[in-house]
Amino acid sequence: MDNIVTVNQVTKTYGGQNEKSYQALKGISFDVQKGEFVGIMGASGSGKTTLLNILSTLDTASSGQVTIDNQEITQLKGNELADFRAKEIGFIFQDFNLLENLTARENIALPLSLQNVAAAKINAAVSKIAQRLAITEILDSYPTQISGGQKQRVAAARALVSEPAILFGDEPTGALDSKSARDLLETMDDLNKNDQVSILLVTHDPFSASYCQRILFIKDGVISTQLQRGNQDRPTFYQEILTTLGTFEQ
Amino acid sequence: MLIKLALNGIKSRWKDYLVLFSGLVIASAIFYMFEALATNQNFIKQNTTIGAAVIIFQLGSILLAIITLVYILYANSFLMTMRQRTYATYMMLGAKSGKIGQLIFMETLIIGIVATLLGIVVGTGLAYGVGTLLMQRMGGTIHNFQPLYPLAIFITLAFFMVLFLIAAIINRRQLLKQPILKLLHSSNTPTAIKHRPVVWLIEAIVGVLLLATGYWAMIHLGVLGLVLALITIVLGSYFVFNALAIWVLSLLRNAKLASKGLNKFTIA
Repeated sequence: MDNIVTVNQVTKTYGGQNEKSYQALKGISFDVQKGEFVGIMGASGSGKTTLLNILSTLDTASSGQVTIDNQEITQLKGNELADFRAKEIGFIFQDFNLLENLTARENIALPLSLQNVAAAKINAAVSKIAQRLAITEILDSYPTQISGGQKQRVAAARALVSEPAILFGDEPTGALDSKSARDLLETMDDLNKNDQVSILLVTHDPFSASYCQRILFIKDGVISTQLQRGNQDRPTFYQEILTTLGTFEQ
Repeated sequence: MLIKLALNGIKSRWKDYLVLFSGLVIASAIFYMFEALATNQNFIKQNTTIGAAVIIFQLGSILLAIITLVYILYANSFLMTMRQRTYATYMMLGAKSGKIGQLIFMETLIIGIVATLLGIVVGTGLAYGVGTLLMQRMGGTIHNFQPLYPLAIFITLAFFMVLFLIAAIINRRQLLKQPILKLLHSSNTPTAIKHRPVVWLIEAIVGVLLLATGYWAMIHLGVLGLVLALITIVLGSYFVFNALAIWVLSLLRNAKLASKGLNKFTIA
């Protein structure tokens, strides 16, 4: 199997020369295979957000290498970095991060229009992903007119419209009610299984994590343990996560 | 699409932009008025009595220019902090820094051009009014005074375009200098004001001294005094306002006035 993400000995140290320094990541290594649905769990302060920020090129590692879709991202700068963000990665955040003054359609089209893609191509791509995520009816609504669950679907559509190599989710269900959360997770599962979308999800919620095929547990800046779902059904896996979390905390 | 995004940026912050916008209209209107009075050659030649007034008008417009420059830079950096998150979202979605720069230029220039044109219209009215008033006071009649004077329009437009260009360049530099993560997590409210009471006190005293020097020079030293006054009054006003405004603002904030839905920018 091909690796879509390879993380090799990544460290991140905060604090300058005159301040007390703090090492958030202490040499983390793992990889994500093409078409895999991987979860990263850990308590707050464990370094999971730092890791996601580095993987999604929003932050830089202090040392180590990160390769996404055969590109060494720690070396990217300026326009290369912008192109990489536009083409290779998609993000969904807890707080959606949609632009309030643009319709759902315009929000979804944004990554393509910022890359100067032709209008006809944009329209085709937006219609396709909207249909896939069942949001065709709300395309002309503004974010304030739709529900939280719908907003996150729009955000997911925006993340996927340029057909990225991997989708990053930072607590995407954090601001949703339980029904919308379940819907969103089932959609992600469906995209992963049927469209081979690779997904990396950062969460502290065991329910969200139970949709993943593999879970990495981060503690104090290193991966302390990992769980494989294998052939278990989701409720059994959920129980296993809870048990692991229970022993993990101590 | 770029224009659409720029217009959308203005629309989303319309209430805040409106404050900046109306300030700019007034500034450009007064600037135009001064210029219209100072550059009307026929008017000046035929009314020799107001010859000395031309210098005053020119000095007035320079004074106004400096004040406007400070105002634009201040107001713009204020608006920029509120727009950081949007720009960060664009960057995260793969907008190149060149594209972000274009967006900032467009937003700033759209506001600038509309405000300046509107200001010239208002300024024409003002120039006519003041010109008439001036003549009545001096007991003469108006000869050849054109409130809508091409040279004055040109100077006003050119001056304000340069101003906005400078503002846009500064905005762009400041935004692109910051790491994207910081922008993305920046709140929509501007940065807090630092508490430095001693600095304010010194500022206020220096400011008052400078203002006093300025007014004294204006009364006693003739034209030279006017030039001197121009410099000291600008500096003096800046110091006094800076010190006083921050002090009043922090008082207002302590009084929890800001929490009653009053936008910090509006207070500012």
